[in-house]
Amino acid sequence: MPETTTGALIYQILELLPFLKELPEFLHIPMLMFVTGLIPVTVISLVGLVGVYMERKVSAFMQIRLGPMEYGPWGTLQTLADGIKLMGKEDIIPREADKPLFILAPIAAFVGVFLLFIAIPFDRDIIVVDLNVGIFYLAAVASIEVVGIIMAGWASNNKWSLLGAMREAAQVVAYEIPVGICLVTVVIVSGSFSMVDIVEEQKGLFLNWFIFRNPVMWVVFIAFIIASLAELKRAPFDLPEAESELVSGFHTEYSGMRFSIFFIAEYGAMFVASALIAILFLGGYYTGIPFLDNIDGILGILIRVGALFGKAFAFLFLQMWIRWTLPRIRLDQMFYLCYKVLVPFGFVAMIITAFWQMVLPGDGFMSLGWAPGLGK
Amino acid sequence: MGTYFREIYKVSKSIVTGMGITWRYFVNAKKRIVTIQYPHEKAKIPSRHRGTHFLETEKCILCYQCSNACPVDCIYIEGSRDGTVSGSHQGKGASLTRFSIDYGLCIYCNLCCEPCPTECIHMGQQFNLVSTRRDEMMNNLLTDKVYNEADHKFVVGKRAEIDHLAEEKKRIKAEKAKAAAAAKKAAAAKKAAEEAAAGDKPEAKEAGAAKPAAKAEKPAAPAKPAAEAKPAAKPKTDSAPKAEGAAKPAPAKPKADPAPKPDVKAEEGAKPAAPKAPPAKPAPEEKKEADKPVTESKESAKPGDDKKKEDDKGSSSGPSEEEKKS
Amino acid sequence: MSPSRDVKGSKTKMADTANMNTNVHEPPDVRTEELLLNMGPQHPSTHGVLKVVAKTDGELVLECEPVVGYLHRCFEKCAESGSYVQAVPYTDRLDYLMAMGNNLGYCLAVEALMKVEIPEYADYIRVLVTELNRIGSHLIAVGTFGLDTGAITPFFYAFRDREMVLDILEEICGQRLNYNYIRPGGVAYDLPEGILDKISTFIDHMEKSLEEINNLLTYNGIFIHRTANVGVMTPEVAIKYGVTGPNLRSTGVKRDLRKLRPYSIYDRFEFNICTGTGEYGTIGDCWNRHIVRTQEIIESIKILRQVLNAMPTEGEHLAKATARKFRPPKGAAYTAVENSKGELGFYIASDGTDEPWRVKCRAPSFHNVSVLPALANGTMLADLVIILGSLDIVLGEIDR
Ligand code: SF4
Ligand code: SF4
Repeated sequence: MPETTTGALIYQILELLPFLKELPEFLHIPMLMFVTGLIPVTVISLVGLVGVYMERKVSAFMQIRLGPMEYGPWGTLQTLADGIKLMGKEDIIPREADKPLFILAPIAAFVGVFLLFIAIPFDRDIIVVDLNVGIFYLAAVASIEVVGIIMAGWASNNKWSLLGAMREAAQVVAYEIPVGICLVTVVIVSGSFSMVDIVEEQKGLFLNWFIFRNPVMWVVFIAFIIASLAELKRAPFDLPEAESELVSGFHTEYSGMRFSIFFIAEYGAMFVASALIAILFLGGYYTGIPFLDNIDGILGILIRVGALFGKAFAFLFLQMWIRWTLPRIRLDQMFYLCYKVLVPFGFVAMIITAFWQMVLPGDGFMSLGWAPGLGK
Repeated sequence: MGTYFREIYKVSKSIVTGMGITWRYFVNAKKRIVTIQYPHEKAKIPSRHRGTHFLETEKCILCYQCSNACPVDCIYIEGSRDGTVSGSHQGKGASLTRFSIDYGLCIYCNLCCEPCPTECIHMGQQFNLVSTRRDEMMNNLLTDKVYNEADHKFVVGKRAEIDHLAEEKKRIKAEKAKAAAAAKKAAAAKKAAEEAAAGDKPEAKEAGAAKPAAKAEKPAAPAKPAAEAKPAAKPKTDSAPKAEGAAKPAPAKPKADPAPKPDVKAEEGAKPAAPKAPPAKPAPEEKKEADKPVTESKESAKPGDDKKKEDDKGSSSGPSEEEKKS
Repeated sequence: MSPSRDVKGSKTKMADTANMNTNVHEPPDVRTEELLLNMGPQHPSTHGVLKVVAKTDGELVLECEPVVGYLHRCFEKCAESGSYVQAVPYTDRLDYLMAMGNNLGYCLAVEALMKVEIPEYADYIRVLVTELNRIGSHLIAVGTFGLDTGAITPFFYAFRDREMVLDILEEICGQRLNYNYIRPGGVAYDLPEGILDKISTFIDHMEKSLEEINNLLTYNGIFIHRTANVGVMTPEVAIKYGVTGPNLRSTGVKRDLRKLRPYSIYDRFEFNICTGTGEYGTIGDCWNRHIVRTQEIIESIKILRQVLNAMPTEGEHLAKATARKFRPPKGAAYTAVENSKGELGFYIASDGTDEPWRVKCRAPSFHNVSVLPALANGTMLADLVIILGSLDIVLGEIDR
C-alpha cells in the first residue's frame, strides 16, 4: 500500500505562493485555507455554469427545441445572465418562516457539496487533501447536503416544502446503503481507502479499470449509478422536488440568490458524483492509454485533468439523458428498488468480488491472461 | 423469483428503448428541431388567420351590421349617413367619426365580418397585441392606431354635429312625407298587426328579454307594440331574469326612461325604410360607458316603424346592446 | 398502502391492515398529525384552476375532494342572451381542447330545433375537423399525463404533433384554439385548397409518431409501474358517477355515442370502440385510461382516411336557412356528441325568438372529476396526481 500524501496541494501552494511564507506564522493556516477553499468554490461555480447550460441544451435537443439562443453564441452566456438576474432579485423570506434556518439552509447545502470537492483527485497531486480514509470521508460528508435540505423544508413553513424535505431525508438515508456497498466493493478491489491510491491502482491500459476487474463489477457500477442518481435526487428519483406533485418541493419558497445557491450546489453534487463514478470504476484521471498517462509536466497534468473532466461530463450527460427520458418513480417503488433490488444485487456482487479477489488477486482480467504484459 | 427477474429485465429493456429514442432525437437534433426563433423569424400565418381587424373605410356604409353581430359588443361605431361631418372619415355615403374595436373584449370570432353587406371589415394577420394598459387595447380602425384621448375628444365633439344633421334631415323628410303619411301609416299598421298576431307572446318576451339590463331604450323590439301606434314600451328591467321580461304584456305602458338617460325626447319619426336613429348629443360625460356610440340594432331598420321614436337618445341602442351582456 | 385505514379518526389505526393478521400492538405513542393539503387552484398538475383539498397522513391521501368553480363564466346565461349564432364562440371555450366537438354538439342541437337539412359536404367537413381535433385533444391528454408522471420529453413530441393539427385547423378556420367554425346549418367557410393533402400527410406522420410516443412512454416500465393498478375504476362506479368517454370505456364498457347513436354521418365510417385492454394492470386503471386514448387516436386516423376517400370534392358548406339570423320554432332539443372527454350534451329550448330561451350544457369533465374521491381516497399523494391526470379533465368545461 503506497504512502498517502496528505495535503499535497497545500504544500504545493506554499511553494507556488512564496509570499505566504512571509506572512506571520499564525496567518499561514487561515491563508492556506482561504486559498485552497477558493479552488472548490471556483470549480463548483464553473461546473454549475457549464452544467446548467449543458442541461438546457441536452434537454432542448432531446425535446426538439433549440434551448437558449439569445445571449452569446448559441446562448452560452444565458446561464451567466440568469445568475446575474437571480442575484439582482428581491430576497424574499416568508413571514411565517423560521428565519435563521431559512437563511442557513442553502449555505448548509452548499457546504455539504463544497466539502466533497476536498477529497476529489483531479490529478496525482491536484487534490486538496488526500485523506487516507477518502472514501469514508466522502460517504460521510455526502449526507451533509441533506441537512440543508431538511432545514429548508422545515424553515419554509410550507407543506409542500416539508413533504419534499421528508422525502429527501427518507431517500438519502435509504440509498446510503447501496452506495456504501458499492464503495466497499471498490475498496475490496483497490485495497485502499485513499482516493489517489484507488486511481493509481487503475493505472495502465483501460482493462485495468475497476469496472473490468471481475465479471460482476459492472453490476456494482450500474448499482452505483442508480444509487447516486437517487442520492442526487435526479430524475427518475426527483421525488423531493417533483414538480407535478410537490410544486417545487423543498425549495418552493426560495427565490433569488438563495435559490441559485441550491441550484449550484445541486450541479456541484452532480459533478462530484460523476467524477466519483469515473474515479471508482473508470480509471479516474487516467485516460487508459499508457503512453498518454506517462507524459510528464504541464501537458501531462492537462491531459489527466482533462480526462477526469471528460469522464465526469460524460456521466453528467448520462444523468441528463436519463432525466429527460424517464418518468418519475413513486416513493414506495423507490424503496423497493433500493432495498429489494440494489441492496441484494450489490451484496451478491460484493461477495463475489471478495472471493474473486482472494482467488485471483491482482490485475483482474489481465491475471486471466487476456491481455498479458500490458500492465503498468 | 422468476417474475422478479423478468420484471427487472422488462423495465430495463423499456428504459433502454426509451433512451434510444431520446438519443436518436439528440443526435439528429438539427433535422428535428421545430423551434422558430420568434422575433427573428416568423411562422407563416395562413391567409385565413383571424387577427386584428382592418376596415376598408371607403366601402363602409355605416349599417351597424357588424356591431350587431358581435357577441361581446366590442365594436363602437359613430357617424352619420345624413350628411358630411367635418373632419370625419368618408365611407360609402356615410361619414364615420368613430370605428373602434376594444381588443380587451374581442374574442376574434369573425362574426362581425360575415354579415357586412359590402365586405369591408376583415380580420387581418396582425396578432401581436401587447399592451400594458387596458385603454390601449382599444384600436381605432379608421387610423389603424390606438384609440387615444384626442380621437375620443373628436368623437365626442362631433356628436352635436351628427345630431344636427339628423334633425335637419328628419325635418325635411317629415315635411315631404306629411302628405303621404296617412296612407303609409295605415299600411304599416296593418302589417305590424299581422306580425304581432303571428309572433304573439314570444315577441313580447323578446321585447323584454332583449335587454334585461337595459338602461336606455331600444328601438328594435318596440316595433311591435308600436302597432298600436303607441310609443315603444320598454319594460325596463334592470337585471330582471328573462322570464320576467317575457311575462310583460306587449302593450306595456311607456315607462319613463331609467335614470341614466333622463332626457328622453319624443321625436317625430315618420321614417322611411332603414332609418338611423340620429344620436342626440349626450352631455359630455366623463364615463366612457355613456359615450358609447349609437349602434342601432338591425331590426330598427325594418320598414313600418312609423311609431314614435321616443328614444332618440344619444346612446340609443348602442349601450343597451352592450349592457345587456354585462 | 392500506385503504382500510381509519379515515375519520385523527390517530392512525393500523390494527386491521391486511398484512398484519396476528395480534398487533398499538404502535408506540408516536403523535401523527393529518395534514390538510390545498392542492391548487394554482398547482402544476391540477390541469387548470382546480383545487383539490386532500387530507393526508404523510404520503397517504386519506380523503380528497375536488373544488370546482374558479373558472365559472356563465356560459349558459351568455348563450341565452345572444342570438343562436352568437353562442357558438362561447361553446369554443367550454372544452377548449376540443372546440370543434363543442361547436358540433351545440349546432346539432340548434339544427334539431330548426329541423334543417345539412349539406352532405358540410357533414364531411364536420367529421374531418372534429376527428382532427380529437387527435389534438388526445395528444394533450397523453402528453400531460406523461408530464404528471414526470416524463417531460414525450410531452414535447405530443405537442409537436398537436401543433400540426392546429396548423391545419388554423388554415381551415383561422384560429388555433377557439375555432367558431361549425355553425348551425353547416360550417362557416369552405375548406381551403390543398388542405386534404396536408391532412393525409399528417395522419401518416401521426401513426409513426404515436408509435414512438408509445415506446417512450406508454410501454416504459416505470410508467407502467406508476399507472397500472392505480385508481382502478369499476364499471359500476363509473356509471354511478356519470363518467363517460375514454374514462368509461377504459373500464370495459363499450359506449361510444358515435356508434351508439350515430350523429352527423358517423354511421358511414368503420371504426372500433376502444376499451381498456388490460395488457398491463387491471381494466379501469390509469394505464388503461391512457391506452384507450392512444388507441382512439388510431381510430380517429382510420375515420379520417375514410373521410378523405369518400368526401365529395365540393359542395355547399352552409345551409341557406341558417345563413342569417334565424328563429327556430318553439320547442326543445337535446343532442349529445362523443367529445374527447366524454358525452357532451346540449339542451336548448326555443320560444320562437332569435335567442335561445334556455341552454343547458352537460359537460363530461364535470362528471369525470367528481369520481376523483372514489378513486383516490387511500392512495398515495403521487397517485392522486396520476389519477387526476388520467381523468383528463378540462376546467373550462367543468366550471363553464
Ligand atoms: S371578431 Fe368577434 S368579438 Fe371581435 S369584434 Fe368581431 S364579432 Fe366582435
Ligand atoms: S357591417 Fe360593414 S358596412 Fe356595415 S357598418 Fe360594419 S363595416 Fe360598415
